[in-house]
Parts: sequence; structure tokens; C-alpha cells
Amino acid sequence: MSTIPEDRHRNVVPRLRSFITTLALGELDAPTRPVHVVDEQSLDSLERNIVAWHKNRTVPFAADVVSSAFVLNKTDAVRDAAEFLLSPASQAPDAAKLIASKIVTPNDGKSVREKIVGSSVGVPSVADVRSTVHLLRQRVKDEPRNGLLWTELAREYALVGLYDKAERAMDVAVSLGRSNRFVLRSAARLYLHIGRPGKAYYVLTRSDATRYDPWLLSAEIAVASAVKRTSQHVMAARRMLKDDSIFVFHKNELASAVGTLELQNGKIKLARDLFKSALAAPTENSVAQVEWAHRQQHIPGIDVDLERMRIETPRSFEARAWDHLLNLRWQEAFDESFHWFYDQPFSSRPVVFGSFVGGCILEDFQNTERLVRYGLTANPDDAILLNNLAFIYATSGAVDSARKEFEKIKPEQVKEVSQEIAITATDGLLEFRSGNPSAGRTLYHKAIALATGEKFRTSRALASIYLAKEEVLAATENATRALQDASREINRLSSPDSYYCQLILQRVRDFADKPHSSFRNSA
Amino acid sequence: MFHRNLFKLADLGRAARKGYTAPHDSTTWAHGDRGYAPLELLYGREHPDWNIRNIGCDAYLFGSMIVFFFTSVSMTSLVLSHMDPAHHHSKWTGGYDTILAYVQDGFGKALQSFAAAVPTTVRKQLMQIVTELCNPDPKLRGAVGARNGGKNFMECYVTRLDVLAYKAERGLFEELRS
Repeated sequence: MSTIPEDRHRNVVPRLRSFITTLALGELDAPTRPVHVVDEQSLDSLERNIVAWHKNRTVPFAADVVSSAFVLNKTDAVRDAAEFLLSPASQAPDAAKLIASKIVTPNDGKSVREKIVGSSVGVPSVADVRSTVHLLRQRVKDEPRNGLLWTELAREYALVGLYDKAERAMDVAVSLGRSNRFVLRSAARLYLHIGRPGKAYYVLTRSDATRYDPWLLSAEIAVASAVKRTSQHVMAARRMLKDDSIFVFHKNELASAVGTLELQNGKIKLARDLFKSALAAPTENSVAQVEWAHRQQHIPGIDVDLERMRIETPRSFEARAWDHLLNLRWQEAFDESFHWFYDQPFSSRPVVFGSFVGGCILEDFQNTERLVRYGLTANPDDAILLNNLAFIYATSGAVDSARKEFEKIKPEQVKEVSQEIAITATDGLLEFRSGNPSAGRTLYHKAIALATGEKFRTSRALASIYLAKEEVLAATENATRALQDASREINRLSSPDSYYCQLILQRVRDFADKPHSSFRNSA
Repeated sequence: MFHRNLFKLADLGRAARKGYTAPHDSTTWAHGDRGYAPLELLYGREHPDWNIRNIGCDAYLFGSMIVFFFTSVSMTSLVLSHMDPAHHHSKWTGGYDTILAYVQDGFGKALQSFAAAVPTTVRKQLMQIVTELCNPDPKLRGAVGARNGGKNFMECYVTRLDVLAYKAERGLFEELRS
């Protein structure tokens, strides 16, 4: 069976996006208002240059004054010089025209940013990634000290599962950008993803910038939680949250991170206040974090803010996906899982989520297979993705393909009991579909036995349902009893798990009642 | 300054000598007009090492002047034009270390703009010289082996530019291309 999308532990670990997208989302701006510096000498000099330009009206004078004004951010006074440089008659050098164009069509970056943030995203093909890697490698040869390029290169390698190369490229990036927010946050996320949590924590703690930058501080707290350590900067974070000179948006992930700590400590009211302040101007990661916290432990008084921010915050795919699932909008949840994945194409979480909704609830095997295949590009050894793909193949009748994928699962990749339950159940499914109901039944019972306790109630119910389904399909004498067992397990569940489990079981019952009707995709 | 068909560049407006204090040393902007200033000074970084701070600044301005000859704009404006407006020094509030990665990225793109304006015959050599002189990280300015504003910091550039001038005067660039 597919694993149930679980997220018992979630932290506001930074996202790993491209530089241009991260920039467009506003996460790389200055967190405080700049101090206005009046430099009389420079302004006097600019004034003299403007006079000289008006007197001479030639390209060198125009370019000089435009260049100087651009550096001083006093471009209004040199607009005529910029227009002159852009006129076809001027024949100004391209570099001068470039600066002139930024003065004539001033752009604070807002419209470009909105375009990037709102642009439709998709999964690059392996060929696309290879081509980008090739270009980036060429560029790092020319610019070996460009930490952004090394970070982008690391991300591209991660997209196709080349973790060793990704780590090496990121190591170079970190050595070049020890204080840079984009580099360090990307590095922390990548190192966590490739199973180097200690390194993820280390790069953040050793940077001096972490103490002063709310984005790095939030990452440090989140990563510390993820690696089960205690953050060294919680007090500094609390002080920073009270600092009114820092823009609210720049503190949102910090508020989410500290709010999560308070929640873990049982301080619901404090957590609620922090989550509310995070939702004042959140990133999608913060929205997803608050959504998660609300799911884990009902937090009174944040529903309205959360509802609004799920809609208003760009790229809130994760939060929306979960919201759809909780409200039984299966198709919407499945669609959103694709968007979530497109935004985080190296992450397995959206794929696990989507493959469960698509494979178990909707039984849309074709699209689910597509999603899992995408996910396996960046995570070729991921046991759960391989299991879910095997489940999809087996359920849709392609037993040989299912067996092939299932055999790729490496035992060392199975890290949690919930994964072991799902994999054991899928093994049972394969045995049933290979004509060995006895072996299959034993494996299903083993999976059910593994799923003991409150924590695995849904897993137990699902394993029981899928055992019942196989018994019905194989027309064994155990079918009726298995259906009763499954029904009993479902009765112990609450929404939304009870709803989808009921839905899946109802399909089995329908087939049991009318065995000659076609069981959807279960030939 | 002109003498026997030679000219020398000099800028004594903010002259400094190691071990001596000039009247302008204590001013906030000891390095003159900010419209042409090295990037680190715009972002408020004054390296504690005298050599790196002062010689590095001179090196940058010299490199920027080479850029100006071909593009009509300074290296500083060219780098800033390739950076996001949010990272302009007038909007940035963190230290230079926190922005350096973005400046390095802008610098790489600025070098491409410069390269496009330089004749192919001298492009490689001048690109190398400007890359060394204008590196956004003042610690990295200068030729390998002669960094940190050492005694012979500028000597190699005199030689390299002399070679280019010599070849230009004698029309030897075809030879360089082959």
C-alpha cells in the first residue's frame, strides 16, 4: 500500500529554490530600513557633472553623469542624459545604454518579481537539467568565486539525484558565502535533504551573520529542531521578534520557528500569538508551518488568518494541499500536490502526499505514476517512492513492473516504522497478485501487527482494507472476515482518515457484492 | 601630467601614506566621490589592513578607469546595474560580507558587459587585468602572488599594459591572435 502522508515533525526549514525565485519572493531583501546618508561632496560632484553635461551634450559627458547618478541613486536629475544615450543617434556604448535604460524605465523590481512568482512552474526534464548544469559549469570556470553560481549548480545536481556532486558544489558555495543568506539557507536545506543534518546545522551556527539575520536565525532554530538539538540563539530570536526596526515580513519565519518551539513546550497561547504574528506577512513556508501546527494541535483563533493567507500568499501549495485533504476535496488536493512538487522538485514530501491521494483515494494511476516518476528523478533510492510506484503498478495489474520497482528498495533506506508497514503490505500485495494468497496474507498480517498503537491507527486500517481487497479479488474464504476487520478498524478513525478509508473500503464492498462488475483498475 | 609625449595619471585629492595621518583620514568618506567609489566602501566596509584598504582602493579605481575607457561608465555603476535594485547600497542594511555573493555575481556579469565593449585583440588581456584590479573582495585584488597591496603591487600591471601599448603601436596584434 502507499504510505500515508504524515508530518508529525515539521519545521520551517528554508526552501531550496533558484536565486531568481527566492529573490522574487522578497526573501533576500534587507530586513530593516536603510539609514539615509547625505554625502554633500558626492552630490556637489554630481551637480558639477550635470552642469558639464548640459554644457557639452556629448556621449562621454552623458555616460559619466548617468553612471555617477546611478551609483548615488539620484537618477531623477539625469533623465535627459539617459534619454540622450538611448537615442539611436547617440551611438553610446551598450554598457552606458544599459544603465540609461534602468533610469528611463525605472523598475523597483516589483513587476518583474510578481511575474516570476506568479509564473507557471513545471518540472525540468533531465535533459534540461543537464543543459543547465553544463552552462553553470562553464560559468563557474569563468567566475570561480561566484557563490550564487555554485549554489545553483548544487541545486541542479540535487534535482537529478547527484548528491555527491551537489554536496561538493554546495561546499564551495558555503566557503565563498559564509555570511550570505541565500547561500547558507540553501546549503542548510540541501545538506538536510541529502542526509547531512550535522553539516546543515554547522554551517548556520558557525556564521556570524546568523546572530543578526532573522532569516538565518529562523533557519538555525528550525534545523536545530530537525536534528534534535537545542538552538543556541532562542533568546536572541525572542529579542529580535520584539525589534520593531525589522520589517514584519522578515520576521515571519522566525516567529513560526519560535512558535513551533513554544508549541512543543506546550505553551499554546504563546505559540498562537507567534503564529498570528507570522501570518501578518508570511512566506508560504510559514503558512504551511502554521497549517501544520493547527493540524497537530488545534490552535484557537487563527483560522481566519490562516484561511486568508493560504489564498493570498504566493506558492502556498503545501498548505492548500493539506487543507483540501482535510476538507475531503481529493482532486484539488491531488492537483495541488503537483504544484507543490513543481515548486520543490527535489523534495519527496509532495510526491508522497500526491501518490497517496492519487493512488489510494482517487485511483488515478496514470497521473500518480507520472508524479512518482518525477519524484524518483531527484530521489532515485527513496524507499517510499519506490514502494508507492510498485503499489500503483501492482494495483493496476502490472505485477512484473511492480516487482521490478519493489526490488530496488534498499533496506537501509527504510527508516521509520510507518515505512516498514507500507512496504510489508506492498510485499503482501505482490504475493497476492503473483498467485500466492497465503504468503500475501501472512505479509499483510505482519504489516498490521507492526502497526500497533495510536500512532499507526490509520496505517493499520489501510493495511486491513487492502488485505480485504485482495481476499475479495482472490475470492478466498477469508474475504468476509477481512471486510469485517477492515470495517472495525475504520470505526476507530477520525476525519479525514475515516472518510477516505471508508471510500476505499466501499469500492471493495461494491466489488464483493457484484463480483462480475469491473473493479476499477484492479484487473 | 605630460612630459616628453608621456603622460602619467595622478590623483592627489585623497593621498595617503602609511604611518602618516592626512587631514581627510578622519572624514567619513575618506575616499572621495562616492559616484566612483569601490563597492566595499559604498556598503560601509573599510578593511582594517591599511594596504588592503588603500592600495586595494587605488587598484579598483585604476581598473574602473580601464572599464570607463571602453564603456564610458564606471565599474561600480556597471556592477550595480547587474544587481537587483533591492541590493543597491542605498537600500542594503547588512554588512558587506552579507552582500558580497550578490556583488560577485553582478561583477561577473559586468565583466561580460566590459568584454563586449573591448576589441577582441586585447580582450583576454584586459579582462584579466580588470578582473584582478576590480575584484569586489579587496583582499583578492592584484595579481596572484602580489596581493594585499604589497610593494610591487602595481608593477606587473605597468608591464602588462606596456606590452599591450608596444604591440598596439607596432600593429602586432595579428600575431597575438594567431
